[in-house]
Amino acid sequence: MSDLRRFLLRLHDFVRPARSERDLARELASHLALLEDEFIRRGLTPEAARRAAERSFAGVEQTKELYRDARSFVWLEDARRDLRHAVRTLRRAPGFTAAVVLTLALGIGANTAMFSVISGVVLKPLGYPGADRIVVVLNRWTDTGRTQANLAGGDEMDVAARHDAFEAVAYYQGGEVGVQLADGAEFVGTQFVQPDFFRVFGVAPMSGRTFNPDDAQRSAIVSLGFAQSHFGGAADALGRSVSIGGRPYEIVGVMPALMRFPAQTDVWAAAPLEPANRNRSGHNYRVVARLAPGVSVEAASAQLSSMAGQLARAFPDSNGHKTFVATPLRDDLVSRVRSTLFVMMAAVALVLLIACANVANLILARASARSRELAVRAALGAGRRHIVGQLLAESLVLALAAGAVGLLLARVGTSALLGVGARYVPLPRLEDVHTDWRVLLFTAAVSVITAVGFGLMPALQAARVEVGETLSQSGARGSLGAGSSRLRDGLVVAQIALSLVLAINAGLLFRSFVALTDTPLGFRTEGVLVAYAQAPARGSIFDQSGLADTIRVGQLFDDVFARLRQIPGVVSTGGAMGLPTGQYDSDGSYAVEGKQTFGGDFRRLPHAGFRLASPRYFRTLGIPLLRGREFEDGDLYDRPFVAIVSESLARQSLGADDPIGHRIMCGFDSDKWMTIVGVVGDVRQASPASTPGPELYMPLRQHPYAANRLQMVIRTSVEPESLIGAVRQSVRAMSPAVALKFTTLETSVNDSIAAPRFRMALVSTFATLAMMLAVAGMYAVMSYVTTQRTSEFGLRVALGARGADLVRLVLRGATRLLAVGVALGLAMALATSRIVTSMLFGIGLLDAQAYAGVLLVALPLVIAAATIPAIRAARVDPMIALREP
Amino acid sequence: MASGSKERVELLQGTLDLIVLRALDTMGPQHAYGLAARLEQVAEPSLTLNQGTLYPALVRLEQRGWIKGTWQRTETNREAKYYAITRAGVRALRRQAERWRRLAGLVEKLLLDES
Repeated sequence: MSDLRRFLLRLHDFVRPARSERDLARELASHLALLEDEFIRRGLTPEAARRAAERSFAGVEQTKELYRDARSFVWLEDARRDLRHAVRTLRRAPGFTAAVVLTLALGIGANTAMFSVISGVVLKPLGYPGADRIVVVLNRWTDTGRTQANLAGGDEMDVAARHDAFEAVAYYQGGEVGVQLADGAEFVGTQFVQPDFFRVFGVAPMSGRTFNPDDAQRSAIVSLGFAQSHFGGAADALGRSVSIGGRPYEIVGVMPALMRFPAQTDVWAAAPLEPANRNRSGHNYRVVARLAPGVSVEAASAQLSSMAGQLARAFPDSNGHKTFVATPLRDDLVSRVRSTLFVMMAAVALVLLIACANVANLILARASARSRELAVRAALGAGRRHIVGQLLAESLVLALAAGAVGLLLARVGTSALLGVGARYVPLPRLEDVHTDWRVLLFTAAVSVITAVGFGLMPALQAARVEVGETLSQSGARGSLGAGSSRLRDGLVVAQIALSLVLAINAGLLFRSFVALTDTPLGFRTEGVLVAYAQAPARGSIFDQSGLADTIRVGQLFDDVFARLRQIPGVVSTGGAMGLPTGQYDSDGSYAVEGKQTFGGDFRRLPHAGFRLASPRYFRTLGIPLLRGREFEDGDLYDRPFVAIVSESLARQSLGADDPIGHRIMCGFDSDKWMTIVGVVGDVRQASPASTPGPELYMPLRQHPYAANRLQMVIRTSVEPESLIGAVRQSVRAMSPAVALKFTTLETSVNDSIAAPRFRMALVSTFATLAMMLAVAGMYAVMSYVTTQRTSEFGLRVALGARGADLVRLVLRGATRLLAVGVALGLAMALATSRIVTSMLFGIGLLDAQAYAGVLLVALPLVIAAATIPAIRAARVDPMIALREP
Repeated sequence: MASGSKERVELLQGTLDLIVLRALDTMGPQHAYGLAARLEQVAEPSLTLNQGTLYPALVRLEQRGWIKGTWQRTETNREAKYYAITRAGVRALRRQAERWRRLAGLVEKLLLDES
């Protein structure tokens, strides 16, 4: 008890020493006065009494020291003194301090920014109540190992029946769809969710209620943002109506900002309790679930897997190679970006490492400039531990200052990352990226580790100083001997090597990106305006209802195309469902008459992308027609069904045969044979990085159920975006219920390679930073070396050496370092470039141009960094150099 | 501060604390000078006390809550900090004295056996 009390008081005394210091001085003064009185009483003169009193103490200051030792903690006092001394010392060397703090701040800032993103996206738990109990259920093919997010409707119903594993299960599907509101139509992120959806997430509405089973296909819940921008507020939205796909939904609840799943959703519309499509071969539904109490993710997966085994026996055609897996929602959200983020983190960590090496070098150089000061201190009795402590304190002060500056840089860096990155790379959970305690802790930890990392070696090195030798050396500077110069050389080599690793990986990403932009796509991107359009249609393909309505919508779009052609500046127009690099995609199996039958296990059938296209679509996009004809205005629903295939599909299924006249069937929406009437060139569908593959094109008008939502393409003779207003007006005039959204084909293609562009830009930035640091490091070391040898050079010049000889002498040393650094760097780059393999396109890992390009830029820079100090040294005036103390 | 002095303090620590507590217990509140004078008087030939060494003992005891210091006036009208033993201090003194006696007895016995 009394020990604890004493400990706390000592601690308090360390923090606030001033008061007890005053008290002690007062007490000692009183003590001395009493002693003096006593000595005077014994007959001494006042003067003699005072001296005698002071003698009774072994020294007033020593007493104070003893007292302080007992009162507080010596080592803490020492640390504080070291820190205070460090701050004073550093303040006297502002140039050095600024260089070190800035260098480190760059490294720490970059790391903190990257960590903020990783922390928010990957590490932080989701904000939902009991978020770790929320899982997604995925479909996995046991033969190929491929996992897909969508489940078949029939399978979903079996999953939902597993009450022993799940407390709640909900399917959902959707995306950006046209929604009709009182003030017009627009594209809104809309999800059709099974009524249990919000039970899975456990989020309470901020206004209104969540769904109950009666709400199916009648009620909707909207986001707070949507309620505010369209109805003025959460409460005002209740009871209002939104129309989706021609069906009115009444708003019964408003969700707080916390609810943001799936990303970018503003309207959750209640879907039927059971999926509309209940077969086991069409995979259309995503599934989320909340684990039942006491059931682990593994246990749930095990149950799903045994259930999948039963289904496989019961339905071998559709389910023979299928199983289901439960994965925590958070893991699923970040699975696609995790590796990119960690590669980036590794890259910035390298930058920090290089910055540390640089700073260690600066400190070494400074330590040797201070070796006399340190030797004097050692001679006056400072122990080795003391000197190391003091140098470490300086490192710590530097690192903490750098950490503070770095944190500021990181805030700027993070918002830049998010601002630019979010546009190009759809990162999940961006809302969760903040400078929170995790980030602060990370920065503090990085700063301290950095301080020890860059401070320890030079400190130990410097503390080994030989007192007698250093003091007897003439001149204001001592030198730290061979050990320190080896360390310094090693640091420069490490910097060159590490920065080369980054630069070469950046070079590979850059070359890969250039290859991407140079790839022929199979269509012409320039001068094409793209309008996403969706008209309300009530039809359902599953019960074949509303056919007349969907056919009417098809006619509407044909009329729209005709009207758009009248706009001055429009060269040609067409429409498609499944534009290259666009938002909609569909694919599946097909059969060619006489070669396959359509049915049974679909996965033995050939595979192709399914696209719908209007007449004049291929012409407008510049996709070459190789054989036969394009779709025509007469290819309507009541006419013979036709199709156009891509070159790849023809090769895949018909070899050398002429495809024209063959009949083909696919699982898109009808089971009619379609006659192939044309062959078109291959395109890269998803992005320039995708391989051109088999595509099956069908006329929009013959597949009316899917054709109310399409991408209009408008080739223009003027700037495409200048026609947006005119196009919007024309469409509105014909049907105000059509939702519209514009982009250009060029933008669309650019966006599709945004992720590699972003990666390349980021890694290039890091590599540039690293290279600059390495160059600065080389410069600093060569400057130091040449300064150290000034008198030697003076002597050489006095003995007849010419300037060029001196430059050569210095450069010989630099070249040795460079050679070792480059060799190491190349070896490490070869070893590490495997990490970026998956991010490369069109070039090999050993791409000669990337390696050569990097070396061509880097080598001259580093050599120049060494040459400048060399030339300066060569200009030395021998008289001055020799006379210099 | 040289590390030598630290060793001496540690050597004296237990005893000095005990002596101070005992002095305050029998004499009543005392200032540091009074304590030092008393100790010199009692111990005289065997111990010449550096008066400064009292201070670490005083701060230790005060931090443990065994003594308490207050500023007062002496008979000669000087201000001085008077230390008084607290109730916890009295208890501690009893414990420490007992321990010390046992230790001293043990050491005594051992020394007798050895010789």
